[in-house]
Amino acid sequence: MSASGVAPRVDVVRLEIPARPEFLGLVRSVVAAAANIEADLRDDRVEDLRLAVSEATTNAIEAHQLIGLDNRISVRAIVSDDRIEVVVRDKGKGFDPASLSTMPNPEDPERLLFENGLGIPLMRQLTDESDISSDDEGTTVRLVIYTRKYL
Amino acid sequence: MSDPKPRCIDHLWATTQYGSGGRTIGTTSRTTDGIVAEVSLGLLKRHEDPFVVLVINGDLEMSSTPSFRQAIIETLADGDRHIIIDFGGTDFIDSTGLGGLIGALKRVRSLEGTLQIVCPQPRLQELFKLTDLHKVFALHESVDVIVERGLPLSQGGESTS
Repeated sequence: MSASGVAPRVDVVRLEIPARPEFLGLVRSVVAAAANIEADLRDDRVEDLRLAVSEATTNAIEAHQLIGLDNRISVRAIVSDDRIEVVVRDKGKGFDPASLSTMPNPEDPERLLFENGLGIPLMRQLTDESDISSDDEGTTVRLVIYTRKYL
Repeated sequence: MSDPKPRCIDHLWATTQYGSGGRTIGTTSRTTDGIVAEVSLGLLKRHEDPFVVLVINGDLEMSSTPSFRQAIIETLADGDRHIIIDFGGTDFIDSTGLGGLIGALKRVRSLEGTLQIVCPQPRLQELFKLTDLHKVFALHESVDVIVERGLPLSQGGESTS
């Protein structure tokens, strides 16, 4: 805690989970609780972050399951004065974010064939900043929600 | 002094519990700190002729979507063709859950059935809009609205169940 009340504040919450879907709810709860440290953040923005982080963590779990990797997935929430940043890191085989196929128009009957591929566009829509860096050692997703902008 | 104190929750383990008859599927996760996370998909089925209503209680995401898919398969196998999915007791759906819904719609359409969704929460309605899926799925405020309206003429006739 800041004694002066004016020093830059940075709170970090770190969570490591086994790569199993039943831990997604725990990640969402912890991230929402961390975001709620910022009392001025609107509830709908907390929900946006909760969903975006859930998407990133789902992808991370899938990346580990794909290669039968036992390692944990790391989720770090950094709450500072003007933003909440969440970093989700996996040790999967990675992918090329530029290679993601574009979703067809929803009114196109073809759209019904796409049961996957909604997650990454959602993460981008829901956050103020998002970047994905990926190589064959794993993927790191950084999601940011600004808090000041909405005061 | 600002004190960025990282807090590490470690040593997680999980137990999975399955309810009898496949009606309730839940997972409890615990940490050594005693933090408990429960993930469950409570699924109740009832008939409101000519519809079958699947009431979903709980989050529809990666951990629960497989049991949701299974419920759709079983419902169609039982001969029901006009499905209402009631998300009145759900406050979280993500892209995996939406994928499960798209899969359900494909199955239902392949059998010339109908699938309608009850989704009273603005937050979840927003998710359908964000993904443009509100153009694909029929969203309604309540089961009653759908039942009162009945099947469209093109889908006329009684349920085969």
